[in-house]
Amino acid sequence: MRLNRLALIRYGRFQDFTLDFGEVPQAGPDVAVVYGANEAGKSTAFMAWLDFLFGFQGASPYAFRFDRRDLLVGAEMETPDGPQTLRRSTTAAGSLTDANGHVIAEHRMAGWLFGLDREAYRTRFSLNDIILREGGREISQAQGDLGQLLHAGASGLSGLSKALTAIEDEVAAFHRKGGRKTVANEGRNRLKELEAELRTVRLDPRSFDRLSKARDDGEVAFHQAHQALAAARRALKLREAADQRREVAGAIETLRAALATCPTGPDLPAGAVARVARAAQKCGSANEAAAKAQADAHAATERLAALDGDPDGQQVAAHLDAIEAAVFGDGEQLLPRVQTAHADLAKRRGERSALLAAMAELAERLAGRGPAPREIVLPKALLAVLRRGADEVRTARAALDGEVGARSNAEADHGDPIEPPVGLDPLEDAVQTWHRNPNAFEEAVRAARSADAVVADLTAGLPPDWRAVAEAGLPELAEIEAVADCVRVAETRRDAQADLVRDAGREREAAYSARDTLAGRSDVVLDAQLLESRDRRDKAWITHRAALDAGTADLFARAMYDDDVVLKRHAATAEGRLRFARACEEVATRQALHEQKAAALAAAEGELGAARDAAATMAVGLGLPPSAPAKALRQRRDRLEEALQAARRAEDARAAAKALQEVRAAQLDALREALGPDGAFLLDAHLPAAAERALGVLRNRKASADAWRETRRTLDRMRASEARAAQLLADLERGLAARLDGLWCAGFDAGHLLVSLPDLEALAELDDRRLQLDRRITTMEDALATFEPMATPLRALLDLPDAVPPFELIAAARRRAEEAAETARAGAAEKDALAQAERIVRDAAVDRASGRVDIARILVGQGIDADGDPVETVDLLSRRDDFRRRLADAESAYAAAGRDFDPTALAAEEAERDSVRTDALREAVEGAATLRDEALECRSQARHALDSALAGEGSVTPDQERAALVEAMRQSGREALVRQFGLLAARSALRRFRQSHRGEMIEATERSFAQITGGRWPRLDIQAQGTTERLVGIRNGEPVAVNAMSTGTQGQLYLALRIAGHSAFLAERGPLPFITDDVHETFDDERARAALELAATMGERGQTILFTHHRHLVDLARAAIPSVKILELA
Amino acid sequence: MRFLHSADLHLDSPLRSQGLRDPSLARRLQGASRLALARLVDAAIEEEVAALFLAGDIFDNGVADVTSRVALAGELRRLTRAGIATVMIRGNHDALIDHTRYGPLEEGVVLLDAASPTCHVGDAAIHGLGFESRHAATSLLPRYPAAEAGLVNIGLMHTSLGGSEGHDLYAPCSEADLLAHGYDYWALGHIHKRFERRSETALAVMPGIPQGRHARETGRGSATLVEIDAAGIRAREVALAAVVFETVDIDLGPTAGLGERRELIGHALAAAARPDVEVAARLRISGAGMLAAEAGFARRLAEEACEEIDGVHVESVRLATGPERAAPGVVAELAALMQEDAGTPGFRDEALAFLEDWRATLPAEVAEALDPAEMDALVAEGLDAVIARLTLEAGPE
Repeated sequence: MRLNRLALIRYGRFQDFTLDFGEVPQAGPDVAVVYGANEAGKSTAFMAWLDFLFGFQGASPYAFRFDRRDLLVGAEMETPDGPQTLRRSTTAAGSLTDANGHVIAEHRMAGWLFGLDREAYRTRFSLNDIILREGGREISQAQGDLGQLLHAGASGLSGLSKALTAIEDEVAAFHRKGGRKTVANEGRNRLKELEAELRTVRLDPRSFDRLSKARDDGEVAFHQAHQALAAARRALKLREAADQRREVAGAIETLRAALATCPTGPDLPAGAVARVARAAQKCGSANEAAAKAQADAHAATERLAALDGDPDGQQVAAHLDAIEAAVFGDGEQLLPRVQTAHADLAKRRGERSALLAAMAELAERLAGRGPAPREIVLPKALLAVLRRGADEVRTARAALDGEVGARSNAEADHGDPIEPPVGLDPLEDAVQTWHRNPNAFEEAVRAARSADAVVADLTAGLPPDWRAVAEAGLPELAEIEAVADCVRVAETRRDAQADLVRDAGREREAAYSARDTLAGRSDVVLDAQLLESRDRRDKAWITHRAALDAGTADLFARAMYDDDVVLKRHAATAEGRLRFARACEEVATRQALHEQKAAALAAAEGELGAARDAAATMAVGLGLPPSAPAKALRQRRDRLEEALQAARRAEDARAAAKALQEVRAAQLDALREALGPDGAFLLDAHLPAAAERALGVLRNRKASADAWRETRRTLDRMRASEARAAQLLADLERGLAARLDGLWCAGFDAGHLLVSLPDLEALAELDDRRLQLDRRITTMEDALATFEPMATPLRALLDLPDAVPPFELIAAARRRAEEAAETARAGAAEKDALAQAERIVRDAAVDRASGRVDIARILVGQGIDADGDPVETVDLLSRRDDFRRRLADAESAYAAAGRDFDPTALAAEEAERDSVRTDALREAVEGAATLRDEALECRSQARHALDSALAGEGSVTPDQERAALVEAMRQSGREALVRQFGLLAARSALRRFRQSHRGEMIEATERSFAQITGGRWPRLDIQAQGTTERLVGIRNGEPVAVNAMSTGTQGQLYLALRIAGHSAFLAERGPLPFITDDVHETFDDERARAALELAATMGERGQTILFTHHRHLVDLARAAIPSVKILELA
Repeated sequence: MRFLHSADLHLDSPLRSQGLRDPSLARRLQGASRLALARLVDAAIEEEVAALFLAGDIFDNGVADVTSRVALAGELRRLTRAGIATVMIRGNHDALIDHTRYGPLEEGVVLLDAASPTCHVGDAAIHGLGFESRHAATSLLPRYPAAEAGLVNIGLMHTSLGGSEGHDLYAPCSEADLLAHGYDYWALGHIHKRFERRSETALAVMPGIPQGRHARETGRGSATLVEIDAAGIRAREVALAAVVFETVDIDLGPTAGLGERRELIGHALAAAARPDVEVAARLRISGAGMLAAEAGFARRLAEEACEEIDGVHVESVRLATGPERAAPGVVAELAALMQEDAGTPGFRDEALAFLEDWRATLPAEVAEALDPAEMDALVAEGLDAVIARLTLEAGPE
C-alpha cells in the first residue's frame, strides 16, 4: 500500500487541507519530508492518518473546531486492488466510504494492512518520539511480536521455554526414570497390591481343588480319631463304673445302721416340715395380732368423741363450686372474666375515645371536611387489590418505554440487505470430507510398514511354527498364574512339611530318651516286677510244702521276706510308676505324630510333583522345553499372544492402506467438482489449498448475510413485543378505573391512587382496632352483670359488705370451705380405724384354731406325744425319711452303675484295686480326645475354608478397581507420552527457529545501528537476564545495557530496531507507508544524516514519510536523498 | 411358546472404565455383570418364559474364580423355583462349567454337548453343542442333529459366523447354511454386538453382550425375548445393562470462550443421557483449541458439566486433531517447524525409543495403550497439545 494524498477535510484546526505525496518517483527512493513549525499540525496530520486507517476511537481530541460527528479524513492510495479514493467519517457503522459514497467493508482495509491492528501498525510503522522509545523498550525486553522475534534467536523465547518446562514437569509427574512419586510408579505399586489381594480373594480352580482335597482328607482323619476316642472312653467308663460300685457299697452299710435308731412310723407327707412350722407360726401370730387390735380400737373411740362439724362452711363450699363452674357467653369461665372486667373496663373505654379522634383526622386529610370517617374507610382486601392494580399500571408503562427505546436503537443500526453466496454447501462438504482424515493414506502405508516391522521384531527367537502354536489356543493368564502359583505353593508347603517332620523326629527321640531313663531307675518297682516276686514266693511255698524241711523253709522265708520288700517298695513307688506310664504314653503319641507328619510330607511331595508336571505340560504346549521354569510360561505366552495380534494387525493395516488409497482419489475428485471451472486444471496437490481459500471467501459472505437477516428478524420481534406492551398498559388502566367506579375516590389515576394508599391503609387499620375494642368492652359489662346474683348469698353467709371486690369475696369463701372439708375428712378416718381393729380380733381367733388342727393331721399315726414341741418332732421324723431315701438311692445307684456293662468284665474290673489305673485310663481318653479334637479342628477348618471361599465375594471388587486403575493409567499415560512427543518436536523447533531468525533480525538491527552511530556501536548481542533476556550494545568489546546508553543513543537503537522490523515485514508480507514524527530530534547532524540515508534505503522498498519541525533536517534530507519530496505545513 | 435368549455374560469380568474410579459410581455399578444376570433372571420370571437359553461365554477366562459359579448357581436357583428351565452350551470362555470338577450347577439346568445334544421343553426340541477345546477352527453345524418333525426346533450355537472385527475366529459357519439347517430359531452367541438374520423359515439372533465392559462394547445391552406361535417367530430386546458406553462426538468449531465450550460439551453430554441406565461417555472433541493445552483440562471441564446431568459420567476424553492452526506469528512458525521436524527419520527414531522405553517400564496392560502402530496419531496429538499450550502462553486465542 502507498499513500498518495492525505486530505484533512474537517479535522483539528484543518479544513479541506491536503498533503500531496505525489506518485511513486520514477527514480530514487520513495521518501517524503513534511516540514512544519511547532503547532503547525504535524502531529494532527500524523493522528489523522491513523484515524483514517482504523476509524475514530471514542472522544477525539481533534474535535474542537468541528463537532466529533462532523470530523472527516480522506486519502488516495495505491492498494493491491488498485488506486482507491476513500473517506473516513465518525459514524458507528459504515464509516469508510469510497468516492461514490459506497461503504467499504473493514475487512478490505484490514487486508491492505496485512492484518495489523491499530496498535501493531502504530508501534511498527507510525512512530513519534514517545512511541519510538516506549515501543523500543518493549522490543528490547522481548515483549510483543517484534520483541519475541528479536530475542527468539538468542534465547528461544523465554516465556515459551517456561511453558515447555511446565509441560516437561507434567510429563515427569506421570513417569520419569527412577521416580518414586510418579503417577506411573504409584499406579504400578497399587496394581501390585491389588494383584496380591486378588490372589488372596480369588478362588481359582486349583485353589478350589486344593481346598476340596483338604476337606476330604480332614473327613477321613476325623473318622479315625473319633473311633479311637470311643474305644478309650469305653474302657474308662467300665473302670469308673467299677470304682463307683465299690464306693456305693460302703455307703449302703452306713445308712442301714443309722435307720435302726429312728421311729418306725410311715413316711411324712410331702412338705410336712414346712407345713408344721407354718401352722405353729400361724398360732403365735394370731395371738399377737388380737392383742394389738384391741388396743387400737380403744384409742380410735376416744379421738372420734373429741371432733366437732361446720354446716355453714359446707354451704359456702357449694356456692363457691357453682361460681367456679359457671361459664359465660361463648363458653369461657365466668370468674376470670369478672376479675378482668373489674380491673380493665375504665381503661378500655378511654382507648376507644382516642381511636375515634384519630380516624376523624385521617378521613379529613383524605376527603376534606364533611364525610364521616366510616364513609371514607375502605376494606383492606379492596385496598390490596387497588395497590396491585396501580403497581401493574406503573410497571407496564415503564416496560413500554423500554421496548420503544430498544427498537429505535436497533432500527438505526440495521444497514442495507446482503444476499447469501452460491455454491458454499457442496464446497463445504468436499472440504470437510477431505479434512476428515487428510493424511490417512500416508499414515496407513506407514502403519502397514511399521506393523510388519513389529511382527519381525516380535517373532525373532520364536520357533518356526509359532503361529500354529498361537492359533491353536494359548492358555489364559489366570491359568498360567495358577500353575506357577501351584508350583510355588507346593514348594513352600513341601519345605514346611519337611521342617515339621524334623521337629516331630526330635520330639519323638526326646520321648524315647525320657522313657528309657525312667525304666532304668532301680528304686521304682513296676507291676511286672511285683508279679515276678509273687511268682517266686508261690513257687518257694509249693517247694517247701512238698519237702517240709529246714532248707526249703529258709528259702520260703527268704522269698517271703523279699516279696514283702518288693510289695512295700511297689506301694511306695506308685508315683514313679505313674510317671513311667505317662512317658510310655508320650512315646506312643510322639511316634504317632511323627508318622502323621511323615505322611503329610509324602503328600506334599506328591503335590509338588503334580504341580511341576502341570507346568511342564504347559511349557511343551507353549513351545518351551519341559524343564522351563514356571516364570518363563507367562513371558512365552505373552510373546506368542503379542506376536499373533501383531501379525493380524499387520494384515489389517495392509488392507486398510489399500482402501484408503481409493478414498483419497474420491476426495480429490469431490474437491475438483466443488471448485467448478476454477478447479478443472489444478494439480491434485494444489486442490486442497485452493478449496480452502475459496471456502473462506464464501463463508465470510454467508456470515454477513446471516447476520443481516438475523437483525431483521429481531426487529420484527421487537415491534410485535412493543405492540403487546402498549395493549397490556391500556388493559391495566381500564381495569383499575373499573375497580374505583362507585367509590368515593372514583376517577383517581394510578399515580394519585398510589399516593393516597398509605393513608387509606392506616385508616382501615384504625377502624379494625376500634371494632375490636367495642367487642371487648361489651363482653366485660356482660360478665359483671352475670356475676352479681351469684355473689349476693355468699356475702350473706360470710358476713361481708356489698362493696367487697370479687377477688376478695372468692378468697374468703375458699378459706371457709377448706376448713369445713378438713373437719369432715378427720371424722371419717377415725370410724374406719375402729372397724378395722374389730375385724382383726375376729380373724385371729379363727387362725389359731386352724393351726392346731393342721399339726394334728400331719403327725397322725407316728405314735408321738401330742404335748411335745411339734417342730422338733417333725424334724426328727424328717431326718428318718431322709435316711430311707438315701438308702434307696444308693441301692439304685449300685445297680445302675453296672447296667450296660459285661458283668464278667465289670466284676474283674471291680476286683482290680490298682489305684493308678483309673488315672491312666483317663489320661488315655484325654490323649485320644486331643487327637480327635485336632482332627475335628482340621476338618472344620478345611470345611470352613472351602465354604468361606465359595461364599466369598470373590475377586469382583479388587478386579474392578484394578480395571478402572489400568484404564485411568492408560489414559494418563497416553496423554503424557503425546506431550513428550510434542516436547521433543518443540525443543528441536526452538533451536532451529533461533538459528534461522538470529541472523535476520539482530544483524539487520546491528547494521542500521552501526550506520546511524557512525560505527561507534558496531555490534549488538542478546544476553540472559534471570529467566528473560536483554538486548545489549557492544562498544569497545564491552556490553552496554540499553538503559545505560544516552537518551540519544537509545533513540537511535530503537529506530534501528524499527528499520530492521520494517525490512523483515516488507520481505515477508509487502509494503506499507512508514511514517515518523520528529524522531530525529535528539540526533546530531552526523547521526541524523546517517538516519536519513537509512530512510533512503527503506524508501527503495516502500514509502517513507518523515515529519519534522527542524529546517536543517530538510536540508540534510535534500543532500542525502536527491529524489526526496518536501512538503510544508503552512 | 416364549423363551429368553442371552449369551456372552462374561460373569464378573470387570468394567474397563476409568469412570469407575469415582467411588459413588463404583458403588452403584459394583458387580455390573452380576446385576445384568439378576435382571436377566427377573425378566425370565416376569415374562413367564418356558426356558432361558445361554449360548456360551457365561464366564470369562480372564476371571478364573469359582465364586462366579456360585453366583450363577444362586441366580439360576430362582429360575428353577419358578419352574423355568435353563438350557446352556459351553463357549470358549466356559472352563468353569465343568461338572466333574465342580459338581452340578443347579437342578433344572441342562448342559447340551456332544454326548447329550438335545433336550425337550414343552413342544420344543432344543439342540446344542458346546466347545470342547479353547479353539475350534471348523464349523460345528454338520454335527448338529437333524430337526425333529412336528416340534419347534431351536439351536444353541457359539460361533463367530463369517468372522467379526474384534472377535476371534471360533467355529466359523456361513449364515446361509445356518438358516437352511431346518431349525426354526438359532440362539447364537460369541459376537458382542446384537443382530438378527432371517430367512423365510428361520430366524437367527446374536443377542450381543448384556453388559458392555468397555468403550468399544457400545449398545443398550439386552437379552432377546423369543415368541414362537402359529403366527411365526418374533424377537424383541429386553434391556439389562446397568451402564452403557456411548461415544459422544463434539465439534467445538469456531466457539471462542471457555464458557461457551463448556456449555457445548454439557449439551452434548445431556443429549447422551438415557432413562433407567447410567451412561459412561467417551468424548471425542474436535476443534478443541486451547483445551488441548493442559493435560486433563478437557476431562475436568467435561466432568464439571456432568455434575449437572443425572446418569451421565465421563469415561474418557480424546481430543481429535484438526486443521486449526495457531494464528500467524512466532508460535505459528514454531508450529510449522515442529510439523516439519516430526516427519524426519531422526525424530521418529527418537520418539520410538521413548515409546519403547515407556512400554518396557509401564505395566503391560498400560503399555498396550501406547501402540507403536499408532505412532503417527500419537505424534500428531502431541504436536497439537504443545502448540495449543504455546499459543496459550503467547497470548489469548
